[in-house]
Amino acid sequence: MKGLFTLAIIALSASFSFAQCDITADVCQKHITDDFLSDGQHYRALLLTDQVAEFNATLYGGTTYRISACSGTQDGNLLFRVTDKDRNLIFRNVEHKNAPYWDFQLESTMDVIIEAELDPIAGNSGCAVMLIGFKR
Amino acid sequence: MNLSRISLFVAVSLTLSALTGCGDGGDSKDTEGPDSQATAEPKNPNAAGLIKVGDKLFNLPSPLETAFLIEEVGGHFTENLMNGEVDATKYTTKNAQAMNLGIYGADLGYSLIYGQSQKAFTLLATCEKLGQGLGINPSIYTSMMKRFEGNMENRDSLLIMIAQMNSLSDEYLKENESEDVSSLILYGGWVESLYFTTNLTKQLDDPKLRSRVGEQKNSLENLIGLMQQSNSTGQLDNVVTELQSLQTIFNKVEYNYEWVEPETKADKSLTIIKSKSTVNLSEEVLKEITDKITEIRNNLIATTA
Repeated sequence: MKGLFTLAIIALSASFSFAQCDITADVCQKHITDDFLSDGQHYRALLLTDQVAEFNATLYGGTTYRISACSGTQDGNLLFRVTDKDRNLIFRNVEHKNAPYWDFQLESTMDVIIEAELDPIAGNSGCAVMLIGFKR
Repeated sequence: MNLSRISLFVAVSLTLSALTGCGDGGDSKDTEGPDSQATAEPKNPNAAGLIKVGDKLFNLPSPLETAFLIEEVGGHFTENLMNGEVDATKYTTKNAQAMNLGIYGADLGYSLIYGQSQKAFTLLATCEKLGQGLGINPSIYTSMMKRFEGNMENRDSLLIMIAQMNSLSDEYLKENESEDVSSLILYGGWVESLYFTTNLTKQLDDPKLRSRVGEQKNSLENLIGLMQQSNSTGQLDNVVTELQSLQTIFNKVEYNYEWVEPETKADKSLTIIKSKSTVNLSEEVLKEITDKITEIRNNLIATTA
């Protein structure tokens, strides 16, 4: 019975997370300011604690990109890190107070992997949204 | 309404999982074992456009990025590079509508960057028709057309609006379980951008342009991954086969990469990625890519598609 109750809570939590996606997208969108143009794609993943979403991207040399990564209704709920394809670490937002967005200036074109997971402090489940913009 | 349905599905799925998991007596430890962890995984990977964890999400470059590059290297506006079909109603299947929405979207960005706002407005109207056919919320286009008309002379504002429109329509499609349509739109946009770039290399020998063609080797890998994820029922087998055929040619492109430690400027929220990459694309391979992408693109815009 206790297990049923726990999972019912998880179910409700997951249901709430789906509904939260729109709000999260709005939270994330505000970081793609007018000096950046959106790449036109919305990246979403429903995450539970300890799950990691992997995003693959090619970023072009000579361009500055902004990556905005959010979960829930406020900034700082999503941990993200950027590596190259060989998993060399480029950036971790946890080292910058869970920054909800960060800019990346590319000298050469390269493939990156962006991994995102919930900050355990923020809750057990949530809709992770990531947006990418490039500077004009 | 859609989200409510999905929420209900998730709630029911998880509750059923809970009942199954508690069959041995309902000890709380049952919910903490590996099996119960598995039941907590999202069961409907396509629900509301949410990707199952463990799968990957793939980014494709915006056609606007390519259009900016074409302008930067001194390419002239060439109207006949764009899809000449003006009657979008000739695209009757969902796949043809989606792919051509991507193509017209790339044409729209290309026109805008060259200040061809009247042409861009016509293309926007075409996109609206295709978007309607695909069930994209018409208000996204109607509000955009009103704003567009009021800013015809302001290129920067128009570019922001178009990027926002693309983003909103992608969000709408993913919310409404139309990941496959979203993927096909991206596919059409990518094909059209590569078609522009390769054709421009015939007139303009610019190293940046040539590199950009070669760098599509990486994006093509992401595109194939994206299409394969959207091809659960085999409906996109032809698209995947065409792309794999293009990949065979791209495999001849030499790509070299060297890791260099990045530099982060925390006060500017900026990381400078200093890793180096080079692309070596021979004339023969460039011609093969040009021919193949032209063939793919012409098949996509054919109204019999």
